[in-house]
Amino acid sequence: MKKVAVIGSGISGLSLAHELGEAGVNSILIETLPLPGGNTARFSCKATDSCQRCGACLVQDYVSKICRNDRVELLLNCEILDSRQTAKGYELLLHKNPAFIDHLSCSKCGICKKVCPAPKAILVDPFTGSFFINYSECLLSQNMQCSACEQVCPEQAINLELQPIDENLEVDAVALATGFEAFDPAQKPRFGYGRVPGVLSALDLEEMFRNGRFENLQENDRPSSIAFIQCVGSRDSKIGRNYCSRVCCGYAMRSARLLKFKFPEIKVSMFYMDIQTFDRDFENRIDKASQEVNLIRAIPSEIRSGPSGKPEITYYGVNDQVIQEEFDLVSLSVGMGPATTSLAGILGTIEPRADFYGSNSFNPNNPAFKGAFLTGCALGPKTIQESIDDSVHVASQIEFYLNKQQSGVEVE
Amino acid sequence: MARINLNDLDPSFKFTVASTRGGEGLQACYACKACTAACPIEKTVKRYDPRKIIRMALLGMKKELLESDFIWLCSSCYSCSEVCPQDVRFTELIFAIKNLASVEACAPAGLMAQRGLLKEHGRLYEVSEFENEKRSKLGLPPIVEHPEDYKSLL
Repeated sequence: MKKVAVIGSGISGLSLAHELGEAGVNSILIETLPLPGGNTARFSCKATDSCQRCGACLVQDYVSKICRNDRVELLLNCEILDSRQTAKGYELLLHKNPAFIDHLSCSKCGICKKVCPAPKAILVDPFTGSFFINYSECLLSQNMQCSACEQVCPEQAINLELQPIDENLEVDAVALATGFEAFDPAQKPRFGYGRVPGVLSALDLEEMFRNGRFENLQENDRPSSIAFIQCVGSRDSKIGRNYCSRVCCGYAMRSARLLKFKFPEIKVSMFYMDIQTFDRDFENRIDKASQEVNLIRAIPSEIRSGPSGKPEITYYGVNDQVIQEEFDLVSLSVGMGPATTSLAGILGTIEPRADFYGSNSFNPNNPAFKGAFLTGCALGPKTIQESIDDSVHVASQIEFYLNKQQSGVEVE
Repeated sequence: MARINLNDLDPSFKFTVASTRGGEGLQACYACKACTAACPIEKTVKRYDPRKIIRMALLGMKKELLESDFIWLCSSCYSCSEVCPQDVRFTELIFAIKNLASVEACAPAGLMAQRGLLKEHGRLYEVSEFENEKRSKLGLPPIVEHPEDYKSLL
């Protein structure tokens, strides 16, 4: 039986594994983190009174589809240490970290997360509320002694004694769905991220939406003004990212409209250089947004702490004068960069590079890449819907490739 | 605002600027206004606007740009280059435009006078017998002017 390894369980990996399963191809979905969903699992629903078609809910759909699909095996906590091309396909050396938390006895009380000294070592599934230990961030992975979570667990559901297993896996084809990494806005120090209180990245804002942080605030504590700054880490040749990330205008506008819908008294401004979205509904959305949101065509030169401690934006306004304006919150719309994890680079034939994989030398017709496929954001910035479309296409390519292999005809 | 006749514009001007040393970044500009927001000259002299200077060059407003007085106001502080996401290098660009203006004999009279002084004396202030006499009284060596190098440069 033919088998395909899908590396990365973001929306592209999930949808690719699902499509392969529908086509009768067995696949193994490999994820380093203890949670499926990848980057997309961090996004929140942006529906106002109607759906804004952001696609964030599709991840949950695909995760549940994958769990029900017999043809897909989901390997969480699993790293790829080595790989080589064989006559048949690929041989991968897997390093499986154990799931330290027994989900049958876990009562989801969250005490373990409170006592954990490492900030990102215990993760919470945004959909089910289950807890997971992220071994690569855990102090144990750095050869330090710590059993804080094991000791406090009232259900004794945590067992840190479990050992990782190394295993060889032979597959006929490999699909890289390694996705993207969001730009770290601290690399643009003039926007004050990490320095000026109140300056957030768009992902921080997503987390605030998801945790209902805005609703939980008292009316007086709620921000009265918020600014969105576009093109942070995209269309920027100084940092080597002279491309449009395709999604930021869309998500910033959806977030702005969501805020405006929930709290109509908030003043929302959006600073942009060009508004670029690739969505068919976009014209309607920009019409609606321009009534609710103050769209300003100017990129600020600087964000610093103003006299009252709030972020103060310096920009060149529409009336031909430099304006310094204070906002309660500033959201930097960070762009997409290639995934920098060593994971994809381990595949010897596909070399790691600073750029997205597909943009330069990946060529499916090259014999060096025989049996290797790329999907989703590994090829370049894509929206959730585009990633799914891409995976559907790649799934059919893989099926075609496997059929050719089986019938003995050399694939061109 | 003065009316601009499209026929008076020079569509090849942007290529001239782009091929001048320092002007290479001209066509990369997205007009995001970050340079203008960072410019300290703009705060006092409103008609100096880096973004507009780039637009004028791109539109081919050669005469208006080269004969203007504001292109000479740049203080070369490089704030604009610092914030530019597209690496236009506006400070270098304004040098290129100023060089083109000098070639077209559009440089302001004050600058041309300074140029004359440099050519003549090798320095911006002429050193006469009077200064050298004073220096010798104080026990300082006399200053000799070396205008030859500047003559060859200019």
